[in-house]
Amino acid sequence: MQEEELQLVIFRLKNEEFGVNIHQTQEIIKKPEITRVPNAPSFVEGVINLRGRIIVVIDLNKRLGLEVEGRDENSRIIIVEVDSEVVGMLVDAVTEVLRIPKSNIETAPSLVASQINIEYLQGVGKLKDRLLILLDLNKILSEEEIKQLKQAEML
Amino acid sequence: MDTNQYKEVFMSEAREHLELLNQYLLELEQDPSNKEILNQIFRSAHTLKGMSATMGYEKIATFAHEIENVLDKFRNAKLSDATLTPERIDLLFELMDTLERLIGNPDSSESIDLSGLEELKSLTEIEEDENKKTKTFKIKVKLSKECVLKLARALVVIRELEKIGFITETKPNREEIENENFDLDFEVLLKTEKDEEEIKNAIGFVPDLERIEIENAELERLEKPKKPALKSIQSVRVSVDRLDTLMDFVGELVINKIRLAQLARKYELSELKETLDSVDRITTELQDEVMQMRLVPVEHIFNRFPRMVRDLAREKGKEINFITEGKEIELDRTILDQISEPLVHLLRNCIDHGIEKPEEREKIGKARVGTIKLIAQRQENHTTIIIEDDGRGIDPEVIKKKGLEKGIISQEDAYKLNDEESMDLIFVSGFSTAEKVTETSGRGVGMDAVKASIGSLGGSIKIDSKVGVGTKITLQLPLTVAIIQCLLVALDNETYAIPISKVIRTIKIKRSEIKTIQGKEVINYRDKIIPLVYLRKILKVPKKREIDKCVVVLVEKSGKEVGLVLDAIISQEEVVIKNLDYKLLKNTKGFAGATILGDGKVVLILDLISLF
Repeated sequence: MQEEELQLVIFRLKNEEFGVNIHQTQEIIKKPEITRVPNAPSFVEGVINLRGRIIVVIDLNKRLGLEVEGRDENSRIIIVEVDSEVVGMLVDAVTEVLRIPKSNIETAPSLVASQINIEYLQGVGKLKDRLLILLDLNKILSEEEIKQLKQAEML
Repeated sequence: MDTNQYKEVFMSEAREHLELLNQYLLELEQDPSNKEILNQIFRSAHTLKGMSATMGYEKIATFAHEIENVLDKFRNAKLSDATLTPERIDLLFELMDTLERLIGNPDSSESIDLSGLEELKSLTEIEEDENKKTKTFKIKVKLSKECVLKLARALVVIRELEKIGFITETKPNREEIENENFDLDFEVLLKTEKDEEEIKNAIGFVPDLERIEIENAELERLEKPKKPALKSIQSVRVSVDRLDTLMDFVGELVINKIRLAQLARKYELSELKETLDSVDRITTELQDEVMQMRLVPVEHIFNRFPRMVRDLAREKGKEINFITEGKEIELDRTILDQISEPLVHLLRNCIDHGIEKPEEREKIGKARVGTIKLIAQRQENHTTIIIEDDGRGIDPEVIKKKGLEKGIISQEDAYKLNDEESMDLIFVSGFSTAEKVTETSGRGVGMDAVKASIGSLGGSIKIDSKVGVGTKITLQLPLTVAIIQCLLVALDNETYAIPISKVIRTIKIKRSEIKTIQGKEVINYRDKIIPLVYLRKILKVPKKREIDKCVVVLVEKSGKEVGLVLDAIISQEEVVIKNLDYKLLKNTKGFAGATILGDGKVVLILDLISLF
């Protein structure tokens, strides 16, 4: 019997590796000119023009509470579709696309050597000696979370 | 027959007839002895019956037929105020509502409540005027050969006959006659109480009639005319989605056109520039055409209101004369869709809070019947819709008091607010002037929602009210939502767009001209003190260096002029609005949308209402 596999787009934030289901991603683009949106949540980088469509871009580092280092030419925007809304996620680099057997994914990771809030995790994929963090995009882009975050900002 | 593809067409046409029916009924209520109106109602019901039968909607057809029967009884009865009492008109309206439900869901098997119908049937049976039984006559008219005004003569004959009875059929049919598609003869089947002699007298005066033959045709139907040859199609129905898609494409085209023009300028390609000039002209025309296609007369929503006003007025025990003007004014359908709810709300407010009870009005020397006017007007580059009543008006002091009670303003604020600003409190969320929440006005949609939805269209709302005299609410709406004129302005290296409809004028000033009064920065312009708002602060643009010169854009907000301070004006452009309807930006206020400039840059469009 063939084992079920998941195809992931792997990207880097600081020195950790993350994965997002390829079915949720539409494309990966280089960072274009981004228009800042005043008074938006702080992790919203701004809006971009994607072939005539206006897309909101979030800075995933900021969203996850990671430090933001200087952006370089490796920075990419991963365009994802979540809940029929298209959003761009700014990441430090996109490294590869790979397949991972579903059985290698631990859905309720008890111990993760990461600074990421456990709430945002969907699971952790283990591939040889690598740890790939799978993010829960619904949570990351959900309103409730954003509201809480906004409140926290105001405090 | 596969009726599915025709269902949409049926439903939209049936709705038009329903609208007519409601409209005629309202007229009939005003003028209960007018047979002509009754005939028109009968005709519409008859058409509906035919349409439904063709589509195989037996239930609707049967129901329409029953309505027809009831109406027929009224027609045969002697019409007077006593016959068509408001209660009976109510019952008729109820029948229309049932009909509307049926049409809304033609495939449903839900059973219909026929009690109203039965009631009407029994009522009218008693009153039927036995002496005045109608008969059907076939009237053959032949025009003389010399007649040069065939159409006019025929129409006069038909008009005169309609005065004395009801025309069930004509041969050729009405449309053919109206298109003058007949030779010298035509026939009319007339249901009337009159006899042959009286009919002859009724049309005898019409010139150029060579012969009039009148036969009793009680059971006869006119011989069915041959199917007319297929006419070339003059118009098509297009779904709104397609129009929207078309509009999007035109928008894209405009953006790309601007981009091309910039490239042509940059590389100085004169040949490309020439072609572009013609592309430019064609795009503009295309844009105009598409815009035109999207225009719908306000009639579409205005026609629904008389019925609503009537029902509500009766319910509230008020007497109201409802007047609509400018029904033919056209608006973009997106705008029309979006103002429908707000208008309902505003009208409800007029009826519920505005117009006083008849006795109260008489006591203070006003006419017993209150007046509500709904007026659409086309101005140069916008459309205005006015809702005006001659009711009790709104007292700014009362509003202020309410605002204090509800904690919307502080005591300190209350002293400072002028009348206009007090009125604006109405639009603050959580404010409602109703003493108690009623079914009518307390539906959760407040004036804040009304303002928000008008604002989201790029329009504005204004209240003028005089205590005891009445209230006038003015909605200013853009002609189209998709493409607007904007002022592109600069703040450091950021660019923003301000809709030109909000701009009064722009002034260049030196920093030294800015004065401070009571801690607020103002300028003195043409002897007016104008408060200033720094866009840089609101938009949190990092401060770089102080420039001595700056630009003030005067805009109107809440009836007052406010100056927006910014660095420079870049240009005035026609831009395509894209909405910023994203969950992530849900709590981000101050923007009406965004647009993409010719160079591909995204620029935010400021919404002055929610910005500051």
